[in-house]
Amino acid sequence: MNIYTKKQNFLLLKTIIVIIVFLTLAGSFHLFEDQIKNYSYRATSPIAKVFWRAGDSLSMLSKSFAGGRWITEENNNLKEENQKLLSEISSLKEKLQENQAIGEFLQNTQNDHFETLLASVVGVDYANDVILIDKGSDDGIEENMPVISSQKVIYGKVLKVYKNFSNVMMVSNKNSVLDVKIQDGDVTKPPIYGAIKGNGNLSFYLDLVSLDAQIKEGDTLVSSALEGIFPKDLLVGKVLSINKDDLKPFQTARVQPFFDIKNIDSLFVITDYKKEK
Amino acid sequence: MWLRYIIITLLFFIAALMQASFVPYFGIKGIMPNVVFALFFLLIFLKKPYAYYYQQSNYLLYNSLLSYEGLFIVIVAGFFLDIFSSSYFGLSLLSLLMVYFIVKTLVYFLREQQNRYMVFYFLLIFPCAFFVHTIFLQSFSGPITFNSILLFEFLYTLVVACTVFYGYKGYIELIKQDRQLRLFD
Repeated sequence: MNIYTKKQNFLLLKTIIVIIVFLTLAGSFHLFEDQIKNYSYRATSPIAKVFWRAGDSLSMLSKSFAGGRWITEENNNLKEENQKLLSEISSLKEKLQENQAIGEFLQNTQNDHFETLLASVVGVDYANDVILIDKGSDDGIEENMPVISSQKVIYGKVLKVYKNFSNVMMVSNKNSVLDVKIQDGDVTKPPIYGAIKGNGNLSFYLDLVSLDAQIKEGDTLVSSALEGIFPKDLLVGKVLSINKDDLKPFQTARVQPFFDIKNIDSLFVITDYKKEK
Repeated sequence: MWLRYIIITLLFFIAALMQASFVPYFGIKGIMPNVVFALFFLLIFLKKPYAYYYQQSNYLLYNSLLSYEGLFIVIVAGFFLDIFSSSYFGLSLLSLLMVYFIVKTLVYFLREQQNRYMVFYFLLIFPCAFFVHTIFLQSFSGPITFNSILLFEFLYTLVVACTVFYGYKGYIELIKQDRQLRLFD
């Protein structure tokens, strides 16, 4: 091996060591992490939104294709769509969706007194069940603020706040625990309480329900507000199957979440729930 | 030379953006493929060592491990994964660096037959790399769970990786065909 090759290898080895040392330091002390991430999100969010819409359209297309209805739908669309107005329609559609979401949300929460902030989803880190939204500390977002949809479905709470963006930890995150109340329609019965624990991969399960409590398939789970982060009576999920074992101190249940990751163009951050308390 | 680096950066940029915004629409029961990892693995697996080193009798392991392009791929892929991850910054990069060394070591020891049994080596090394990467990241975000979901996630990623792999092979074949001398058009 000649001197040049040896020198080159030594240089590479030095580069690796420098990278590892830098990363260890940066990771340990969170050096520049917030700034780097915030600038990267600002730069990429317009493109991410385009990808988001493309994914939405493509999944809709594949669904309709699977259902065998795509030919008629496509024909209708082709008749209606005008090439010249397409770009204008898409931008108007976005505004309309936002307005509809606000209207729907106001209708659903007319009895509640929450200050909310509309946020758009920019990305999803599905490995950790975390959503990225386009509102940050500049918009008044703080950690642990609840995030819900226009239908009053809980999505999660704010985990990390950057200048213009925030990470939302979904209720399906492995570290998430949420106190819930089980509703079966009979108001004369005392409420049954339990806890929703995240499973990862957009799923969660019901735990800490006492063995003598009568829960059944199809029961609706709503937030109980015991943990002090989420307001009460927000929708969480539906009981799918119950796992009762006399050897265990509590019964558990499989739960179908009400949130839908594919339908979350707009979310609402409740900004004043803690202040009310 | 620089064009390769630009293309690699662009590829990972698009893959990371797709991972965060496009791929969730194609999840099956919350299981989604890791597009960035599939691309990363293919690039380091398919990358041949420099001909100079390969022909030398004293071709050593560190010649295989230390290459500018290989390390560049690790840094770019790790950076983009870290940007869109809510976990500790730099964690994905460290994980990919580890995977890179493992893959390159395995490829080094299996190099003699690599061209002949490429698909088998691919199917052998890919699971090792995937599980090392996923379990390493999981250990920092919560309890490690080795369940059917992880297995399905692996299979989904493998399908994506295989599609790209055969796409790449098809592309290479196409290029080879184009270079053939044609007597008649």
